[in-house]
Amino acid sequence: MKRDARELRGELAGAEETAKGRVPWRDRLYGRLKVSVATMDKIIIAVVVLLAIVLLLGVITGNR
Amino acid sequence: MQQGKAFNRQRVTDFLLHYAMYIILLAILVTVSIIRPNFLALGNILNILKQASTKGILALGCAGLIVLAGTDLSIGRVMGFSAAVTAALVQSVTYKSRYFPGMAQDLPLIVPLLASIVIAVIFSLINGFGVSKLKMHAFIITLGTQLIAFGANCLFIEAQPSGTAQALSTFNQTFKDVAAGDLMLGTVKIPLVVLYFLGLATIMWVVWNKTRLGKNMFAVGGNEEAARVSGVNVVRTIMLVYLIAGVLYGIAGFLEAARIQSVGANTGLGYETDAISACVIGGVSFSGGVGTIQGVVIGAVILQAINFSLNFIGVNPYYQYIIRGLIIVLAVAIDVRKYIVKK
Repeated sequence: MKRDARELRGELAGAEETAKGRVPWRDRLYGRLKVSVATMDKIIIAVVVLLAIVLLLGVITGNR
Repeated sequence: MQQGKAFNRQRVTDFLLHYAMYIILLAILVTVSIIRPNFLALGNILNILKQASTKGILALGCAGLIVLAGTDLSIGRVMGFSAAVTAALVQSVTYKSRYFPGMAQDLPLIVPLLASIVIAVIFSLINGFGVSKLKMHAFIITLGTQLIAFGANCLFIEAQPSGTAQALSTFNQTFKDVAAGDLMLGTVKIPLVVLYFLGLATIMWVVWNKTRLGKNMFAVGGNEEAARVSGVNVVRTIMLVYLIAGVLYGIAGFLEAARIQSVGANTGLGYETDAISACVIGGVSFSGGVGTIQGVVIGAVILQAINFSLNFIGVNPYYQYIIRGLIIVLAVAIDVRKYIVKK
């Protein structure tokens, strides 16, 4: 039985939609997480440095 | 040889990044104890444990929700409302401006405790229903209940027969002795609230590790679909975890009223950040399915030790907010890194 081209396109679009919806939920929770371990390392180091600076400022201004 | 060195360096880097949170927190505590050696006095340590206890109990409840990949923004306000109800029911009968002037004698303590638990459980079950049945995101539903609890608490405090909206205080002695008393061990006074915290942590450890509910909770948190297919009743599991969280919030409200001795509309403000931070520092993953009770206990104590130490060396409170926020960001960044490595 031959199927109409429009019908096939509709089915394909439907399948794509379903596939889109099947992004792992952990990825949805943390964003898409298209990030490498190396980048995360840099982010962690940046946050640590920022934390150290704020701590230092807090101690300096607190003792003033 | 070169390869071996590079491999070792990589391992050290991995170790440092993996445990960055604990290293930093430890460094802060060591630095503070060097600046002020009396920081490690027994009195201070007991004070830290005492302050960590009620927030720790809240964290024990909240940890289950985070294991389910959810959260709870209503913790502080719900606990505040529970504490207010407790406070109204335990006011001394000799106090003229008490909330219930018709009350001629002290109620048995089980009544205010149950009232506190019922209040918290109602809010918690609303959150659980929203998450499990209505498939709402925990952020949204708990944000709503946070505001509802705050409004209800303000109305409750404002409805005092004295016509004022003053903080509820002057509690009966039995309540103070039971909820905020000390256990004498030789010359050392161990705050009872610390023992209650450890007792509840033990019960929660059993629930998480030795019961079907605990196993189901980790299954749902790890992969809800897989858990459903394996025959786990997801809705029931989520509702039960929220119910337990509510019971713990109610107990925390009861104990917090005794600890702070005066309950106002702003009681509990910001406690959710402390409870959530304690969980995250303790290794409970926001991505769900990962966490331990001992981690939560350690997280609560470490967080309180940091707060206490920053106050101890006189760090400006506004800086303290920034530091606490950065600690949460760091904990989540480390958690994301662990997740990516695993993936």
